[in-house]
Amino acid sequence: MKKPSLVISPSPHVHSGWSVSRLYYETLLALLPVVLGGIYFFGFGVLKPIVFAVIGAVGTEVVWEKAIGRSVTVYDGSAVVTGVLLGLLVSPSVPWWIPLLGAVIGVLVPKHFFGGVGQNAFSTVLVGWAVVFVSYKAIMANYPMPHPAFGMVAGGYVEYPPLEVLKWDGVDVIKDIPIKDLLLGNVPGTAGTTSVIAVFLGGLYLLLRGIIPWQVPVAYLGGAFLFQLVFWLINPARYASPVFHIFTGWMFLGAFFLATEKGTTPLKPLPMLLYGLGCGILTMVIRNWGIYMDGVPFAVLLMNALAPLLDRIKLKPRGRVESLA
Amino acid sequence: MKTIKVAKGLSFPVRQPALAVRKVSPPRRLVYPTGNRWGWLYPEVKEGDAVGAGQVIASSSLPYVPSLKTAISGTVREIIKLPTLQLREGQAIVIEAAEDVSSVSQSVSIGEDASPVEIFKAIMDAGIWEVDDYALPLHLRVAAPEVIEEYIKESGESEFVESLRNIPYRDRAIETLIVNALDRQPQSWVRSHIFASDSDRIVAGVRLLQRLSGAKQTIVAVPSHLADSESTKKVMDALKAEVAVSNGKYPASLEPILILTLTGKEMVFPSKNSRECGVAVVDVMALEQLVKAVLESNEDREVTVQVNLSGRREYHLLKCPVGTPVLHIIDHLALNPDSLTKVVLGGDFLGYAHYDLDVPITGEVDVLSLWDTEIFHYKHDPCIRCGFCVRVCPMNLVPAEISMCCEYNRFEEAVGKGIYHCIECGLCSYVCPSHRPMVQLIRHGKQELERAREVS
Repeated sequence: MKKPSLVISPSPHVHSGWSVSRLYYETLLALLPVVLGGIYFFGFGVLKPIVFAVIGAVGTEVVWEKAIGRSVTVYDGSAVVTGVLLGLLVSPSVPWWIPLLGAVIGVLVPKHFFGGVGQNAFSTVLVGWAVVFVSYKAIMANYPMPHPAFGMVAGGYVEYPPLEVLKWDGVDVIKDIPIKDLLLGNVPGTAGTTSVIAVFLGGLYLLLRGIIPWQVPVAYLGGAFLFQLVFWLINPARYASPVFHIFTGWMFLGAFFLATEKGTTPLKPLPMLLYGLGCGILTMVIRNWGIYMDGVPFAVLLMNALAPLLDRIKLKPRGRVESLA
Repeated sequence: MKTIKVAKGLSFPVRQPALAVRKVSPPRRLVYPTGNRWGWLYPEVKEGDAVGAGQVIASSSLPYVPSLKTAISGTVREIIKLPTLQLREGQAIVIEAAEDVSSVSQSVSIGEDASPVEIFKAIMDAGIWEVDDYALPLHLRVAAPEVIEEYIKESGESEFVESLRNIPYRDRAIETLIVNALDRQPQSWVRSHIFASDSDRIVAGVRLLQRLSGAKQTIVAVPSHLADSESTKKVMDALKAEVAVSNGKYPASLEPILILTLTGKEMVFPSKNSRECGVAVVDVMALEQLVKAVLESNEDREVTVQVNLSGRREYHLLKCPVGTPVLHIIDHLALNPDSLTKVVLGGDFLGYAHYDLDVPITGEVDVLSLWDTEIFHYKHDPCIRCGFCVRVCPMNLVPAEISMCCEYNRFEEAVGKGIYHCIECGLCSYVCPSHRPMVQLIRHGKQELERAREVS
């Protein structure tokens, strides 16, 4: 008895419920503590770059996809995540068109020129950020002081982001910054890059939900720590302690949110470890000897380029193949 | 007690409902497909013939296609077109029950002290179909090389015996016998139920196979919730067997994973012939059938099947004769066949969706899933390279890359990436956020490679 109404499909016939949009909306949820931490320390002004970056990212995606006649995928949330992350990386005091321009370039160039969500070889956030950072260096280098909304005293130890202080004034000055301030984010900087605790909360959520692999953040932080540990032990008067470096600047955001962007990381366990290690070591190389204040964005972008190469390291499949006559 | 540790894979929370076995009212009309995973059978009856219970109604000239026997006495109503379980177009013999035909058992019934060759012959005649995707049927998979040799000598020359000589890896001794009581896939509890409720038959069956194979080692794989049960103790004491407990990960129950985790031996692909590594896996469903047919000369051919009403999270364990059409079971559960949206034989992860309600329950089916609600559709979105599939693949593959190669007809590249190692467990598609039908693409690739090999 044939029943044409019955659905025929290949196995498996069930699904875990994961979808691209759920992936990105859960990433947004993980960014919530970072945004709330930014509001606490820097006021509601931090929402301004986020809003403009989201408008830029979403608008670009809609316009581009309409223009080339593809179905509009803006509801999957990937453009929103790009916008929010980019907004967290620029200072609230920059003019409105900076995050907008960054988001337009970030969504258009690395992502849509290469085929859309997941096809980006380079991090959308970092490409957008790098373009505006390199083009408008003077505007971008403008970081607000924290003024916690309630319950805490503003961290008054440094007037500039700790890494900038380190670059200009050397190790002796940053020694005075309490670790507590670094952890909580009570230092000058941008909303996404100061509060280690908030970023770690979000990153932990992503890890527990299995959205990001553990290999990348662990290798990233571990690699940076060990690399810096060696130099700190050799010459503590010249190099800052690894603990300071781990808890400062973009390190945690880079390890949990930027280096793990879908499409830019290798897929296999060992390449992911190497990728994370490379990111960590390059970050420390740029921080110690480079001209930029923070090494994370350029380290991650460089490793993005290496990721497909690393992914050529083969996994050994279980089982053997018999010779076929 | 060993633990079966599956590298990667996916854990599914065990929420086994209390299941009572019910007998399905005897169907008046039974359907027997003339094809199974090993090949085709040729009908030995024609329309209008009277057949007795236990009579062989279809057989093959090849030794690795078990024959087909009817479970009831009656007349051959018609021979219809019907897809096999694996959805290949084939024929099926429809038999209608009639009281006036007496049963004519053609089985070789043996005692518990039968010689290995007698056991070999009896299992071959019993015609046991199995759920798992084995390379060889039970008797050829388990038998020691001397037993097959002796059988060939006894039977003289014939086409049938000649092809027996060509069975791959026929000369490999079987060192380890693995009794698989692990449920085949999530939301399936047939094997653990049979293991818990029918341990006497399992002991008797394993003893037969131990003699047939000459295996020195017997390992019984049991799910964790049965680790301390009465039947595990009984089987362990009676058989002096090792017991291995699963940590509840899917796909621990599939043959290549089971052999790898229990013996450390890697299987050969794509033939998946377990003789090559000297191991034989047999599951408890086959053991129960075997003992009923061979030791008890029981011709009712009853199998236990689990029916999942997947949309409603309702589960039933039913006993019905081999050949019961799905429609009969739907009627038995008082469901409306018109309201069904999907019918899957063989489980949610490994089964086949069917469009014909005449398709019967055979020894190849452990779970029948029925949907009468909204069902999940796999759309074809591009891969976003999230790496979820790599994290769950039990064979250590990169399913995303292999399926992309198959999608763009780069099959030789897929071979380099290990397409033959895929055991089609379905986990990659299950976790894929882009809802990519990876298993389907990989199967397509394997078929195309097979075709290319046949042509060349």
